[in-house]
Amino acid sequence: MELNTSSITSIAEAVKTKKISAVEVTSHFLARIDQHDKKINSFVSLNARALEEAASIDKRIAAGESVGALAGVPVAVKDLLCTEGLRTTACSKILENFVPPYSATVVEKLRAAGAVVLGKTSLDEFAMGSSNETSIFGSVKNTWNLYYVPVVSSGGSAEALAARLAPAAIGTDTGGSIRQPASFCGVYGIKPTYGRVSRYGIIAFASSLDQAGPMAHSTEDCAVLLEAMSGKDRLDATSASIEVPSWSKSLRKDLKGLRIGLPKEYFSEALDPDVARVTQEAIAALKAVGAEPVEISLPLVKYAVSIYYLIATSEASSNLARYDGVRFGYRSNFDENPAADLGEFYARNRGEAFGAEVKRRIMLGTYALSSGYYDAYYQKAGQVRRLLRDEFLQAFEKCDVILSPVTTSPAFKLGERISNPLEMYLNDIFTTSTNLAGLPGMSVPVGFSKLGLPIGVQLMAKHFDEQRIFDVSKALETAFKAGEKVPNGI
Amino acid sequence: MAFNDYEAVIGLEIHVQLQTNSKIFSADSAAFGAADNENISPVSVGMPGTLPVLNERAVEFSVRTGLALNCAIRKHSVFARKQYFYPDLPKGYQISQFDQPICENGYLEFYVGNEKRKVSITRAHMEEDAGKSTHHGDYSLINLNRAGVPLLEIVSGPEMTSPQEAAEYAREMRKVVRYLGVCDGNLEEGSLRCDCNVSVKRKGETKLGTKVEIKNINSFRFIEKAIEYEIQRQIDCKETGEAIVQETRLYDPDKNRTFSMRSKEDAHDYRYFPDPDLLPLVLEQSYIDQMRSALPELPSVRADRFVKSLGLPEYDAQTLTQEKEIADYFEVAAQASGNPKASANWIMTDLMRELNDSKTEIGNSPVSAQSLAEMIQLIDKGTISGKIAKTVFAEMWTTQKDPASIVKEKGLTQITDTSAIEKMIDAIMTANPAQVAEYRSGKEKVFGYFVGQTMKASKGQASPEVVNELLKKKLKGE
Amino acid sequence: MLTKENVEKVAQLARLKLTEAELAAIQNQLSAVLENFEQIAQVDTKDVSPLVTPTEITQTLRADVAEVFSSERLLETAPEKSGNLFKVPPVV
Repeated sequence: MELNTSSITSIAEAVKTKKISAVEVTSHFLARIDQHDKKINSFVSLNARALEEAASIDKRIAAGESVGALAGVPVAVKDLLCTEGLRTTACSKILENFVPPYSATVVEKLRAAGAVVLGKTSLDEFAMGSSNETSIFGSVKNTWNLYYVPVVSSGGSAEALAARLAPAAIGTDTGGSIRQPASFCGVYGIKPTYGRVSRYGIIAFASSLDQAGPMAHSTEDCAVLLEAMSGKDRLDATSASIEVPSWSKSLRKDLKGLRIGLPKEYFSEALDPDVARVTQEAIAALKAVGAEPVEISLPLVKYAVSIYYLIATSEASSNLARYDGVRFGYRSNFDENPAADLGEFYARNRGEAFGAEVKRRIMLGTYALSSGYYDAYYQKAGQVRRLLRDEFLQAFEKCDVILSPVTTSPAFKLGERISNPLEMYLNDIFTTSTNLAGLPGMSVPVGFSKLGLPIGVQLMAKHFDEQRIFDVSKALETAFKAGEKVPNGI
Repeated sequence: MAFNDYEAVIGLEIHVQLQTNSKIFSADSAAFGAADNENISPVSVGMPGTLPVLNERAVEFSVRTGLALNCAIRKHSVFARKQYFYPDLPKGYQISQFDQPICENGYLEFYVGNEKRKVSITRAHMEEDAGKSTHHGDYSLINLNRAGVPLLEIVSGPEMTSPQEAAEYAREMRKVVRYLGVCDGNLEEGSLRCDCNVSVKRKGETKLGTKVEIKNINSFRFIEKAIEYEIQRQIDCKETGEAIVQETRLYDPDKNRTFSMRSKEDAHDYRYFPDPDLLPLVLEQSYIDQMRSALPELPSVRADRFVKSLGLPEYDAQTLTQEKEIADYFEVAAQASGNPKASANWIMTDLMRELNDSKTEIGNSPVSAQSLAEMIQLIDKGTISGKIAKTVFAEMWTTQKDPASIVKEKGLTQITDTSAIEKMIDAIMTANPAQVAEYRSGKEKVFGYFVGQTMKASKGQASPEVVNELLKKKLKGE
Repeated sequence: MLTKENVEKVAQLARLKLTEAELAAIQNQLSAVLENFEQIAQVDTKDVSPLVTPTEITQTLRADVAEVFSSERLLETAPEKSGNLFKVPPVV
């Protein structure tokens, strides 16, 4: 069995019918990690019990027990999801040695479906960054070109997938962290509707924006993974009590009559020519299978990035207050150099262990929530957010799915933008609005830049209407087969 | 207490610890008295990625309390994060309610002496408690058992004017929450905590003086003393021209004074914002109605009813309504016996004494309200005398038998048969001719001797009224 | 434009010890981001309530049932402890 290019459903099927053992599958990918990850740097920790977990799946199958849809499927998990007994760091010095006594609900659900956690993948510290360059474990390299960044925080997961170090990966997305690296690495990645997947045990960045989602090599693989991850969790009050459909089994054969909304504000001259070309190719392909393009207007999206940074940093400044060196995490050396007072105790623990980008965002968020500024910043951002969300809901009266670029340009070079955070922020314009409105959004690989770097398009649908997105994604997959191309040297 | 030219303005913030099984946002136990950090969970320790989920009973208790305090219940209330750093605050913020609290605009009625007062309740909001730090010189230790225990903070209007009034307000509040069964009201264990806001102004002035908050008060008596001290201190400041600083002060009961809790922290900027981990709490009208219809009768209303429809004196009504269980007991006894006053007397004297001596809760009393009522009926029917009843009651307490069987077994039935008593009297008069002569010569004091002898001969069972009547007749030779 | 004092005050609120260089960099960057935000002041938001949770999610409350967790495991991550208590430098 050619495991590198096998879909997860075929892996699970082979494991269930004993054509291959779960141990063999896991061993294969562990060997690949050992061989290739030195240069890519996508994993920060490996699960020492991965083979043991795989063996227990084999044992259950041998005993005739029923196993889930992901039987023996190895997954790479972003190091923002807590894994019981396995170090979870958020790639921050402040959690460098943190071993949680609990697992994220998503991890529990994947395991319940038979998946095997291979290890934890790299991210920007606390998922804050637009370039995957702020991790304490060093930056992750783009498999397609080692001098380019995989972009944003689920970069490790996307790269592990692109380099075929795992057949499935889990990321999180606050403003585009699943969709952007998926686009830059030529893989599929979906951020589900806010509330579709439990946030329990996922280290919080911005609570009203964060969602975990799957990344994989095909539409169906993404759908199967998301089916396993979704559902109401009694440990997360913001998880939705709504039925989880079998998306993977309900994919449409054609798109006759399906209305594809094209926001005119998204197609400006600011777009990189490669990105513009690939997006137009995607639209043409969908028309060819019966979809009807409809021009829509979202005048408020031009404010999305501004609103996003205010809301995300405000929530983050509060979510990161718990990293204080009292109950867990980094503590400065006070034996050698005692603190003058309690204020210094905190300021040193936090000041020494958070990286520059995290500190910058905590500072912005703290300022936006502080007395005298709340109304002008946080409150105002929340109000415009409602208007923006409502604008999307109105747009969905005219169309079924919205199609847009994922980013303004393909991957950029390592170090190219870190000196100018504002410019880096603007790259988030297409993805952040999806999170602000709570919509499901998916990046689907479609084509390549002249330099050979992958480019995807983004699909969005109404709340909890992931099915329409998967339908369109499947049509693009059939038309371009862009996810099948493997980077050189892999 | 008089403050000469000054008036005090007092407001109270009472933290009521809601008696739930688990914490407000997580499943770890909320019980008091556990071993160090025994009642903690990833959520209450504030571990990465953990999330709060609201306890339905904490909501129920809050709504019940709000309704009992005549508050409007918000159908849409919002949890907000109150942010500050302190080692016993695990997340760096306390989940509380800010601009949209669950209860608003109520009032509490109570008595100060014979005078009825009505103090407004500005708001009551739900929040989580912090942990506890203990200080040991060069280090401090943190126990998070209490972190996440549900609290309802009840804020009064700044309308009280004397320390006595503030203490009575707090006492009434304790009574109410105990009646509702939402809190045990234990000040020493901290399940009821009272912060007092005190300011003074010259009589007639409309502008309020600088407000000082007093914390760390763990008895009703200390509420009174601490406020009294603080008012005097502020008046002294005014008199000497010293500025009153807006601050938090702690009360030291040993020295009976308040002292400044000087803190190096800068002015607080709590940076409140709605907690995105929790949805707004939405309550249906039907839920609120259901809670309202399930409310028990409150102590002040009940006391009024005891006076008006059962004819009890005000004092008895107040005493019996201090605790819901006692009032419940009384009502059963009063109804079953048909004699409220006698029921009140027996409960307030003999029953209370036995309960106190044996440290027994009224709910576990060996003498049930039904049995007490039966005993009172035996007295009222003349079957036993009030004096014999004391013996019967003592027997009921130790054996838990019903009064009728005790009376029967021990042959304690009162003798009202005049012929039997006449026979006894005749025998006694025959045996004591000297005393008979004495009486007849006018020394009527000797009458008591005959009563004693007759009662003794009847083993206490003769009806005293019948004995008196017959003795008078016979001694006078009628 | 934020002043250095503004930034220092925020750092104090956020309990972050920052170097002079960090303070200066943040002063510039925050000013730029906030300036960029100024544009949304034009959006008319009269009578609009701020949006927090973007989707319609039905409220679910937790039944009041106590569960036991291993406090030993929760204390394992402590940087410093004494017995079963978390230990910190003096806080008064």
